[in-house]
Amino acid sequence: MIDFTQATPVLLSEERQITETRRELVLNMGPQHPSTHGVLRVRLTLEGETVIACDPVIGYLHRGVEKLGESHRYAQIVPWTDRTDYVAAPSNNLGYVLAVEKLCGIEAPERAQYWRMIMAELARIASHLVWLGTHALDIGALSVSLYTFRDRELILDIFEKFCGARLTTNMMEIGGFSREIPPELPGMVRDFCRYFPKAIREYEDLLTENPIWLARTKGVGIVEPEVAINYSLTGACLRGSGVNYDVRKAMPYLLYDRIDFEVPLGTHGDVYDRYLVRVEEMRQSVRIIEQCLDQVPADGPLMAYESNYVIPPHETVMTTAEDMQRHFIWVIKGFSPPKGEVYHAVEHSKGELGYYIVSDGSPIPYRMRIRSPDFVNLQSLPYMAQGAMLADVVALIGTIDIVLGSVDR
Amino acid sequence: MDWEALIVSYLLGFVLLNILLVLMAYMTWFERRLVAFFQDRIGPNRTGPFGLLQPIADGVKLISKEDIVPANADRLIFLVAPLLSFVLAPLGALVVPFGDSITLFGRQINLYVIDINVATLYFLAVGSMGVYGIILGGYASGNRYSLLGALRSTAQVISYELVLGLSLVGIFILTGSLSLVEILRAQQRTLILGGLELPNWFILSQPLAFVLFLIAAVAETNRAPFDLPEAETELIAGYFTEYSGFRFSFYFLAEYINMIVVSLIAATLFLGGIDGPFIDGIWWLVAKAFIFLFFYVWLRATLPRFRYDQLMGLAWKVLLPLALINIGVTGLVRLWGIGAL
Amino acid sequence: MSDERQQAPVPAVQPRQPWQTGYWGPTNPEEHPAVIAVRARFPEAFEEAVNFRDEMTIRVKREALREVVEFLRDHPELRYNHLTDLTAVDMLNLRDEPRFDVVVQLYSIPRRQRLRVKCGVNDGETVPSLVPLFAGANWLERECYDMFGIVFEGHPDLRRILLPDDWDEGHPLRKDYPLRGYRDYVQPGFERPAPRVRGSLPRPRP
Repeated sequence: MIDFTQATPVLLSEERQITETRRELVLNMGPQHPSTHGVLRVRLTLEGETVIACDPVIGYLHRGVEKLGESHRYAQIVPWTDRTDYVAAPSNNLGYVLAVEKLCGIEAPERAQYWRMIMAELARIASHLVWLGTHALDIGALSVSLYTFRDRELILDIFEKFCGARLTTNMMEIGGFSREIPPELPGMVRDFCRYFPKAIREYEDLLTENPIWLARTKGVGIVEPEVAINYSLTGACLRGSGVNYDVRKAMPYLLYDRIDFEVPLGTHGDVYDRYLVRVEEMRQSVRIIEQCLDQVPADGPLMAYESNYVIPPHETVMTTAEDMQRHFIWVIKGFSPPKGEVYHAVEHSKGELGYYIVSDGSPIPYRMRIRSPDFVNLQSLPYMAQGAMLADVVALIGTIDIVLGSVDR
Repeated sequence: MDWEALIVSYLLGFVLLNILLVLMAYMTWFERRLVAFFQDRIGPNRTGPFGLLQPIADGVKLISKEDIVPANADRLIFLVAPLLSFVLAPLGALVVPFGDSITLFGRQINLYVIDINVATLYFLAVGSMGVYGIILGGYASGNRYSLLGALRSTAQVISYELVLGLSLVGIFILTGSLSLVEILRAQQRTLILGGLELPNWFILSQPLAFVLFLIAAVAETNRAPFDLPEAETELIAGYFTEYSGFRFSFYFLAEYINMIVVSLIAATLFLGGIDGPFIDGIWWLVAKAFIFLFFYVWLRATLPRFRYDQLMGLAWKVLLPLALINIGVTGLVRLWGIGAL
Repeated sequence: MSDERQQAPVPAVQPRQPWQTGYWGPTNPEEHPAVIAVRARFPEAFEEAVNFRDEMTIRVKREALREVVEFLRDHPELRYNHLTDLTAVDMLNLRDEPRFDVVVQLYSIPRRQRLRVKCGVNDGETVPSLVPLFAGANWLERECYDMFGIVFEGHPDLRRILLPDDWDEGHPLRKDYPLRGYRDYVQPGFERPAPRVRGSLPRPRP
């Protein structure tokens, strides 16, 4: 028999046990609620409309991706990473793939790195568009969501052209890309870059100067810079408070050190500043994509040629004997990175996405930890919601930019 | 008692109610198509030509749905509240003059159901009674979202009712009457302003009151950006969270009928009602009301929602003082006879 | 305080190997300032410093974890002021003692440098909580408790976070926890429980 009582029982603290007194109203917001962006549940204690306690309850979408990662071979986990943050799947692929490449000590060719950057930035724009649409919808601006989703379609079309899938793309592989870039893809991306700044102006026309939008977002959910660092916030939540930390600048991965772009910073740390930061990030992403398109070599290898870790290219599998054997072993048994542990972080659209992988020298990761940005960011919700109104909670959930697949993993 | 006049009034009221119901059904179609247009999509276009049968399909669907009563609801009130809302909604339209009298079957028939000398007060009273349906429905649902929606609705209606009423006082001062028919007649004169011949519509002499009335009317009918009692991203559906089927549709009907009635009243009070160039008539009233309805939809497609405290602040700190100033200025003008209106 | 929020200029990194980026400080543990400082300050708690793929890991005794992290955070020249991640690894298949590794990833925003601090902990022992130092450690430690059953001493609100409050099947990220759980769950529409599918590589089952 298994002993289930192995962990020490923990007594709940007095403050947490929310009691309903005569003046207080406990409101259970979610997990089925229009503006909790999935299955977040927030237990609110209200006095009138003022929030006096806020307790986020998560885990409704927990699928045990980390546990699954410990039972799949390295290359088999890439599709699982799509399912964590499904609105920016390529960025998740990228974080995992880079971590495994670091573990193996290999590097993708230059051309593949440029295309990875393009896809990651497109994913950032797509994710920010979903965020902007839903955030504005939460605050009541109905039309913005339709505009952003309209423009997101263009990005999804690019993804579809590139890898055949629109949402869970599974587009990156350990060592680069195994498929050739479709010849019309650079043109599609360029068309998008030409069109998209106009679309951003359209969203800003609707929101940035709108008095109601200003009233709803300015001075709401203020996070001071010290508090933001203390809460381990990353991404726009941290930069909105004026802390200059962007993994792309601080620890450039891929070829971000060759790209000229700026990191927008907020000043007040409120919902409005985070909105401005994210909108500006979309503009910077367009800049990055344009520079990548200018710099990317027109042809060249897309896959690292490492006999130990990378799947051999299709042509040589069909023509040479040893590549066929390697391919067979790669598929049947997987590859075994050296023993060790790595942590690799990428700048996801929501913050720092880190993959911590422990290898015991077998073809299966011994431990795969996903440091998902919105899980860590979400815990600042009770801090932001102190003394806020009920309607502000909705704006705060939107401003943290959560995707529950990534929070619950 | 003039029995014939009474019967004619009843008949007119009956006709009016049915017209309102049809209008309301097509208001939903109009709103959906228009919002779709604003949002770069198509909108309902599958049911009939241009989706014109969509309201009928919606109605059939709503009526044939199950009527669910939550276990912890206050059953009687829960069942009655939507009816209250629905019954009170069209009553305001009874005092709207739709034209001068016509002669039909040798009888002179006034094209309004009733002309009472306190018509505007009556409209305000009926409008604020409609909130009972919301409060009772929200309370009786046994749902905290509904309760919060009902609370918000109460506060909102009380505040904006005040603004709505005070914004009209200027007109009362100018016309000396509360009757809509009298107000309409006052507007049918000509206003000569610096050599220009303008209709004496109160939008020209009372522009501030018009803006206040417009804002308060949007708030009064719980429409965006003042739709806090039913703010779907905060309170799921507010007071009608627990309602389904035809009881839900009663709230839905009431909201749209309220919109139409308020548009008709606003057109009558400020835009001269049936008065217009060429031939006066009901078509002018409809066209003017249509402008208001378009404005409602436009607001909904464009603006974010207010927060509760901002909503109350707007009413008490901005609109109410403005309305009082408007009354004072109008009174002084009237007293000193500058306008000689 | 203002320089706490600003970063140093980008160091000119000359990578010798693809993974060598220089973001974790010197590769030689003897030269790493954090290793030197921690060893000098906590001679009895410091266990070892390992460098793999350019990443510096300091292993300390579990009782001293909070003091070490506080020291690293407040040290005027180290300033590891951002708790990036806190997690654990079940070392059941790799070694005998101690059972778990609690892994803390630190990052210094002003110095642009990462550091990993580890401590071993056995089942039934407690680790000092980092919540007094970093508010961001709250949910990370809760997740650790949820997934591994590691109890953090001094945590204000240690309860399950991803799994339901009434989950009674133990802690799923432990290596002795089967992939599909302990119980057979009857799927809707089936009379018998779904057959267990073995994972791609069998793991030892308890």
